[in-house]
Amino acid sequence: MVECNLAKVEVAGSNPVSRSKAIQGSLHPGCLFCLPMTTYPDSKTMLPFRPFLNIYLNTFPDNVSGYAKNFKCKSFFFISTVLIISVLLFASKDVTAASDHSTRAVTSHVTSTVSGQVDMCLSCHKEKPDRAHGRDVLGCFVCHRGNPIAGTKDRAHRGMIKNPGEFSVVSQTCGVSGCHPDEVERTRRSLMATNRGVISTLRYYWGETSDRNENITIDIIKREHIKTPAVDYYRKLCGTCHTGMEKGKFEGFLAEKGGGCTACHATKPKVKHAGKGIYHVRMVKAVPSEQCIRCHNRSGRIGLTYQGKYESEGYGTPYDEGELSGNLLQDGRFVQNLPPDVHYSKANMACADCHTQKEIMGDGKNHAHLEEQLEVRCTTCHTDTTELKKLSEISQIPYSSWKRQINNSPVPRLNIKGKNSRYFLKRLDDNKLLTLNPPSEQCVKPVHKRVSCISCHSTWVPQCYGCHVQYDKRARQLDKIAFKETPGKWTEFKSFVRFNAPPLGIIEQQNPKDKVPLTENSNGQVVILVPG
Amino acid sequence: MNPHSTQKLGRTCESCHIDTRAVGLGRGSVKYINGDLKFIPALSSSPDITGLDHPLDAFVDIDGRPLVHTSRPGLRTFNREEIKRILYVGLCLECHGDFNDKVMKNWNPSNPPEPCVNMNYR
Repeated sequence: MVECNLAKVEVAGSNPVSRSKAIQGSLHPGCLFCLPMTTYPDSKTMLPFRPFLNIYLNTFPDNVSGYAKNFKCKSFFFISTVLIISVLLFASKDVTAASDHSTRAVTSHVTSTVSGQVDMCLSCHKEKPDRAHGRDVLGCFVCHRGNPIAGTKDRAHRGMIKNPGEFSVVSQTCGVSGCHPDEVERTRRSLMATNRGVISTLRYYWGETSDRNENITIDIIKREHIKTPAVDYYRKLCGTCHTGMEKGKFEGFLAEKGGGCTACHATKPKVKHAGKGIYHVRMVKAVPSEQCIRCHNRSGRIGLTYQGKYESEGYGTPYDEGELSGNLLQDGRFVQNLPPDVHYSKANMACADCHTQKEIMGDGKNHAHLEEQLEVRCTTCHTDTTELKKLSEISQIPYSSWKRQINNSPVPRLNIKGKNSRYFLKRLDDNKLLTLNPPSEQCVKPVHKRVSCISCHSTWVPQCYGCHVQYDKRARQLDKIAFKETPGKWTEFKSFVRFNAPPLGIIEQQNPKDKVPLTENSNGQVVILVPG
Repeated sequence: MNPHSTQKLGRTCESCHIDTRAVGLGRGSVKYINGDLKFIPALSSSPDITGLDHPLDAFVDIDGRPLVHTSRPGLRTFNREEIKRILYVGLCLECHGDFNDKVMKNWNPSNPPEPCVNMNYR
């Protein structure tokens, strides 16, 4: 319940968006009776004005219900607007002396969000974010901080946050109560934020630990100044691929990496040249694959393979009119075109259509490897209608309820929808319904019961044979974690790469969600073994 | 790992059962001699350069001895018995390369039929 002297409004929840929607039309933008109802997270921001507000409000009796009947809101709007402008002008000492834009009072009227929260930033900034973070709903301050009631640019921008998604500031922005605190907490522990899997695997391979699941993170190697060959290699060759990296810290293609929440969720507007002063990134739930592939294009080359790109050896073949192939990645690696994954070529599915939020952002636990938090298998979707119905039911539970039981969900929360007794995967990007076929008769032949789906249906895979690294202790190389050059340079080499059908092997311990749950006598499941 | 190169049609029978690369032996030839398999690798090993006495594309030898480490506990190369079972199927594919063929329909991995002819794997 929020209470204005002119109106009483029931407002459910603490989410700023739902609050704003609920009270839109009921509260009075700019009205000083409504103004204090909206709480600024940073109390210091309102501090200089609170005495004025209190004095103003205290001039009226506590019970003004009868009093208010005699007034129209317009009167209060006018009075309060005049008062606020006076306060702003009074607070801005440099207003008359200064001639430059940074210290001049930049507005002549009070701007506020639909909930009545004064956000003077809106008087200058015309940028239009996505609808969920709409400028009229949240304003600028909620995400970008600064001082929303300052009268000058300098004062308004003091303490401002350019990228609210950065993990270093996210507890004041995306992660505040009422917005996305649960998601932020989980994401900061996730593999993509900590690189726990990358570092622990490297250290295990290089004989620096006997624990394959070592709990070691970027924060730990920074805090404890761990300096071993594997960690040095990680810092110099792998250290740009984590969501916690500050966006724009590096130049070139690396500038697009990192940025916390925005590493995945911030996309460019579909309309190019939206106009100077209007452009603003859009935060989306349907994360486009490009965001993922920005990092997931090395090691297993999964992001490239999915799109049908094979990272060829560095010869630039096949030649194009006598010149090196022009088929290059942003970082200069040559690629050749091979058949893309059918989910990409035929269904145009993005990574996020299969990989659930829990898989990507984590479940809050400190997992060491991705497979520990994978919950979707081929057979999750390619199954019978009974199983699909369960998926459909989970997808209908409101997100706010589901996320509280994220680790108790019996099945993954995929976007499965039922229609006319059939079940479809609803594509995140455009809501198109995609048909889900059960495994074919061939797949369930008893002689192949140990063969995993991917062993048979993955027709090619990049294979790097003889991968090795060279360390030159005389040279220097940029440490991507410390942002400075340090002694020692690592260079990667490979003897040859191939794109044959994958070699196979056996996994004797597997996730029970896999095709054939292992028993003591089943002797494992056939899976892909790939070097590189 | 899942390479994310899924196709609607799966691998052919030959892709697994007549290809030494599929079972981890690497590129080469297999001969079926007196009920046993003999593998001849196509790539040479270069112990002086690599320090390895097997070709780079070999994960396991024909006797099922692993030549590489794997990244996960429980993940292993095929053992001798498994390699033999998989490649043995390939002996019959030339004539019985269809799942509806009665030889394949009645195939019992632990008691496969005697080979009609001796043949080499590529």
